[in-house]
Amino acid sequence: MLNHKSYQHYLKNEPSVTARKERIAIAGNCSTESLSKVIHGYFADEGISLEILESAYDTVNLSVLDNSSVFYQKNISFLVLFYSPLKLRDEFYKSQEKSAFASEFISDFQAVIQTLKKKNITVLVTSLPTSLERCFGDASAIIEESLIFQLQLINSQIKKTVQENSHCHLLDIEYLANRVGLDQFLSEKLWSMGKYPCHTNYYPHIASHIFKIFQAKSGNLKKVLVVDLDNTLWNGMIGEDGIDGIEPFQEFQYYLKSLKDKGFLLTVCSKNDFSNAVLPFRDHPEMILKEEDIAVFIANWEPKSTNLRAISQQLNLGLDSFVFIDDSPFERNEIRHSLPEVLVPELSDDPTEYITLLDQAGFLENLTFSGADKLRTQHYQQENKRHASMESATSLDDYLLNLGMKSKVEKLNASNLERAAQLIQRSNQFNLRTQRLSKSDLERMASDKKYVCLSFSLEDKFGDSGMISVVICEKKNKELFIHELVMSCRVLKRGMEEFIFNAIIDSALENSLDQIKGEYIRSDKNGMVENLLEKSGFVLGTLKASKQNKRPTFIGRKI
Amino acid sequence: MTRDEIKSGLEEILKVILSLPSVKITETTTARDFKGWDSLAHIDIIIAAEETFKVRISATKAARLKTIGELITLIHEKKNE
Repeated sequence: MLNHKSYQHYLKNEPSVTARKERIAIAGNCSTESLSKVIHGYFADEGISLEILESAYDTVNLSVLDNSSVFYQKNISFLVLFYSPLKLRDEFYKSQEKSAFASEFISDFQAVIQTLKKKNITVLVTSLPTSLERCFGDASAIIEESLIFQLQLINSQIKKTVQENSHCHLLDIEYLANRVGLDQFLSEKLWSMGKYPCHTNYYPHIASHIFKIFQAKSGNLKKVLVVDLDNTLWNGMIGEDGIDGIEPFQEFQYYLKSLKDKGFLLTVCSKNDFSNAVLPFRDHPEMILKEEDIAVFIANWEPKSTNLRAISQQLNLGLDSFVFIDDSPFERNEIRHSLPEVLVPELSDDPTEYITLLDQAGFLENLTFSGADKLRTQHYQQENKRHASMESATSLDDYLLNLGMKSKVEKLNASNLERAAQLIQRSNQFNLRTQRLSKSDLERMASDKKYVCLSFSLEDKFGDSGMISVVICEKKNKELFIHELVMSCRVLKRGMEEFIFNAIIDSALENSLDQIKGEYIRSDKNGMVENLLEKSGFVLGTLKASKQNKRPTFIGRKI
Repeated sequence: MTRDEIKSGLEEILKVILSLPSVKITETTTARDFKGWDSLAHIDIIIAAEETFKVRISATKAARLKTIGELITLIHEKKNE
């Protein structure tokens, strides 16, 4: 397991005065008081001053169903629903009809989830460790009247509910308990003394899970894996041992390949001559990773920090979305020192431990998954070809014309919502207001006539880039307000910006609105679009009469 | 392990958990002598004592403790079983 600081450290830890303020809520069928303190302390270490609204012990249903509940009075990022199997056990023993226990729980649970959906609240729901006592021995798992049969039923229903509801995410406590061992994780003593959901030693782990989901929800995602070669992807040194002398770490390569299919960009950064470094990818029969799996391949003798900067520029992705994977402690330290924003997981000197170490380094949290993820590497490779073609073109217009670009504009619907939500979650730079609308927000807006929800895809002769932009506009009186506008940085400077604004104007005209209002909200990362509205014809802060017939007037407000 | 060793070990634990610069306890000290010793701190103190002295303290016994002296006796008995 990952090492965290101690329970006592987090329990008393307070954020600095400059920490960013955030708010979440927690409700459970167990005591969440000291858990909340630890979560607060964990976020404090990450520079966040977290206010946690708590409901009293075992009042989940009451506090969710109560309209005047504290959860609904202030804005919260999400609500954590924490279910302890020990409480469920106590209720199970009291229940009259054992075989109906799960279904009764689930019907209450569904009511809670549906209420929260109506209230537009994002929920983190815990899964349950289920291996408690077994009155029927091994057969308990298949006997309906047994405790663990009912708990397993509840657990699978919880997961199914989360899967079916876009406002829910899973906080996989069952996984955590399995990793550490249930005897360590649960504490009957702490349950009896204070209704603690588990041993306090694991509160920091739970806090870190919640923090990772929080990060993903805020769009702080890792996107790029930078991998070393010698003794990282294979056993041996290609420059010295030659292609017959190295031995690929196949399991690790399969693991990296599955991360690539999940949407990570795999890049190589190795201190080698390029001709040596690339050889195994082309000719070694036991290599799992091939050249086409690698978005950027760098092998030279420059410091790795220099190369990481180059990769960042080439992909147009910030270094804070990078993960650096290298067996050499020297290289890891060089990156930690020169580029502190890069995540550098500690690797052991035993390659059989690489997968577990990376898996638990905490950068894999991702709230959305779409079929488009698999194609991401391909998109960046097409981009490399476009660059090459641009260099040979005589002028920019000439180059753009030759690309043969086609963009499809579609209303958001069930088939493209997932990808749209993901694009909103992942886009940091070309993001006008950074509203981080979730999939459930989009579902709601797409079916509300008040909103115009558009997606844009782009295709050219080098390939299909898929959906690359989402625009959400709100109709307010006589004006169309640009609520959210994001675009993938992959397609910058190809005229897409102008095309998108033309589509917005068309929507305004279709809806007989004579004004479009835009707003720029500054974030840490969206300086790129600071002047987008002005460049697109918006006039700053003032209303201006339209000169062109029937064309809406642009106005812009800057914050 | 002597009662005195257990006593100074407990003083260290209380210092950390109650966030105090220094702690002096006697056999008759009780939870009420400390402002921050509430039910949550009580649980933390029992867990810390278990880990420090490598003993198990049952929930029922922990609930019945009235003075530090009784806690020392409990740990002392367990250590010398």
